[in-house]
This record gives sequence, structure tokens and C-alpha cells, in this order.
Amino acid sequence: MHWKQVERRYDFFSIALHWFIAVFTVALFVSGLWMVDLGYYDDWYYQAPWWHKGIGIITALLVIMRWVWTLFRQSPADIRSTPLWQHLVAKLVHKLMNLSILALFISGYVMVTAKGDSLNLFDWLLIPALFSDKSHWVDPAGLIHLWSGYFIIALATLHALAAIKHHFIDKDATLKRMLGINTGELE
Amino acid sequence: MKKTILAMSMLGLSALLPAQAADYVIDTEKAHAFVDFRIQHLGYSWMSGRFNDFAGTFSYDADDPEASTIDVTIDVASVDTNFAERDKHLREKFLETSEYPQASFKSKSFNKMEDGSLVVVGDFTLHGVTKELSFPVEKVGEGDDPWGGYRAGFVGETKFTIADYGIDVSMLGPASQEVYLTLSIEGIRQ
Repeated sequence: MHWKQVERRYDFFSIALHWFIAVFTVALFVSGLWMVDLGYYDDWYYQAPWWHKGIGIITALLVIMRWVWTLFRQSPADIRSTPLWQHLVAKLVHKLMNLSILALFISGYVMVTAKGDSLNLFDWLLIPALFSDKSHWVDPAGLIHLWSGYFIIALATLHALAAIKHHFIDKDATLKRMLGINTGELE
Repeated sequence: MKKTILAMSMLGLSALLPAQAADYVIDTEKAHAFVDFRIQHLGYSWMSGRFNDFAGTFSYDADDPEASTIDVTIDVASVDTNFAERDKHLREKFLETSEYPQASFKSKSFNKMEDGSLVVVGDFTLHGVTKELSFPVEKVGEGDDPWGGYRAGFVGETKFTIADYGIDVSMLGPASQEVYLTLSIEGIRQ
């Protein structure tokens, strides 16, 4: 029987990557908006950016790991009851989220390193700058960072609402298979 | 003959007129001019920075220093404290450079004090607020340069309360409410 080889849920590595990236992305968005307005005497004034940069780099690495893993993993088959246009929109949203993560990663790195300073990863590793004289890139990079952040959160909201709709209204396996639940259904 | 009369009359005329102040352009091209500032950090140390982009002119005559004028315009977004993240923070949260891109100082008068020192009075504009500032100016030197030109250089320093210019720095703590601004300029005579 041929259909038995078709995966019905995501593998646990993909699932772990997905949820870690999801939680980190939301945490980075919230911390990013919060930390830029901290008072100078606030305990978090230096701590918040320290965490934001560290988690940001970790998230970027997880995303790259996910891209590589996607090349090798056995993806579950599309859910047949979902119309083609929804598959296409979902794919587009996924691609745009990937692009936004890339834009966030590059613009964040540029903001920190534009004048030659290294990016401090949890006081454990200094990621070197690629340039020392690009201070005029800092403000554009900041704008890109902010708007990519809004954009990815808007996309993620759409993505999450769609998953909830599939789960509660269509009652299909879309959300379950990212939670690691093998429903046995393909419909 | 005519030429001689003309030359003689001009000579006579120039003797009647006050000394003409020479015009100088501040040498920003070869960076022999600096707009530096420093502010206390927590009351424990000095943090210094500068504005990298500015332009200006002045006129000066050693025989009549009170006729001097100076006009400097600063690109505030060029603030540089040796730390990209802080510079961005200063532009966005304090200087608000997208709204107030320029600062300037335009002299209104130069006054010679009893001890011979020179004090300039002028309008300083920062963060969209214009206020009168006065500070002593010291001539460092003037004379021919090695490349066929003539140069004169000055230095002046003033201190002001940042809040006077509508910039809220209360969160920086009581020791960091004032900033010293130093203008070190060299001009090339035109």
C-alpha cells in the first residue's frame, strides 16, 4: 500500500524548531519595542538589549537550521480538504515570514556592527563586524528592523488565526500535525 | 596718468575706510575644524562626541576684531560618540534629527573685553529652539599656509542646559543636564 509511506504529521525536530522560533520571534518583537524606551537608570537598560541580541542570533541560527532541515525531511502531504488557493496563500505567508526573519537578522546585525563593534552573543562569543565605516546604514537598518518586525507579527497573526480556523471550524489536522499528534487522517 | 590718479584716489579712500574684515571659509574639506561636545556620565566621567558634518564661514580682521562675524550650520544627524547604537539612540530619542536636522550658530556681535579677550554673542539653534549664547573666543593663530593660502584659527567653548532646547534629559540623571560645546575652527581666507 503506497499511502502508508506518506507522513501525516511533522517530525519532532521540525516541530521543536517551529515552536521555539515562534516563541522567540514574539518575545523578540515585544522586548524590542519595550527596550528602546527604557529609562537610563532602569535595571534592564543594558540587560534587555543583551538578551534581545543573544536570542535574536539564536533565532536566526534556528531558522537557518530549519531551512537546511526542510531540504532533507519528509514533509507531510497536503491536507486534501483544503482548497488549492489556501495552500498557495499559506505557502506565500511562509515564504514572506522567512524573508522577514532574514531582513530582521541582517538589519539587526548592521545596526550593532556598522561602526566596527562586534555583536556580543551572551558574553560568550563576539560576532565580528564586516565593516567599520557604515554609520549611515544604521538609521535605514533601524527602519527595516522595525517594519520587518511589524510585518512578521502581522503575518504570524494571520498564520495562527488560519491554524485555529482549520482546527476549530474545518476540524482538520492542520494544527494537530504541528503539535505532533498523529491523527491518521489525511482528509 | 589716469591710472596713477585712480590708484592715488583709491589709496586715499582706503585710508578713510575702516579696515576691511577678511572672509574665511571654515576648512571642513580637509577637516581642520571640529564641533565637539562632552557631557557627564552619571557624574563619574566625561563622555565626549562630535558632529562630523557642518559648514560655515567667518570674517575676521586682527585690527578690528569687533567687526567679526561667524555663521556655522551643523548636520545634527552626524553625531558621533564612537558607538553606533548610542548615536542612533541620540538621534531618535534626544536630538530628533528627522524633525530637526540642523543646528546653527549665527553671531550677532563680538565684544572686546577689558583684558583684550573676545566674546561672541549669537543665536544658537538646536532641536528647533533658538536661544542667545555668548562665550569667549580665543584666536589660536593666523598666517600664510605652506600651499599659497592664508589661514586663521579660533577656539571657543560654551556650556548650556540641554533642557533649555526642549530636549528632555532628566532620565540621564542630575549630573548630565548640561553639555559643553567646543568649536575649534580653521578658516581659509577667500
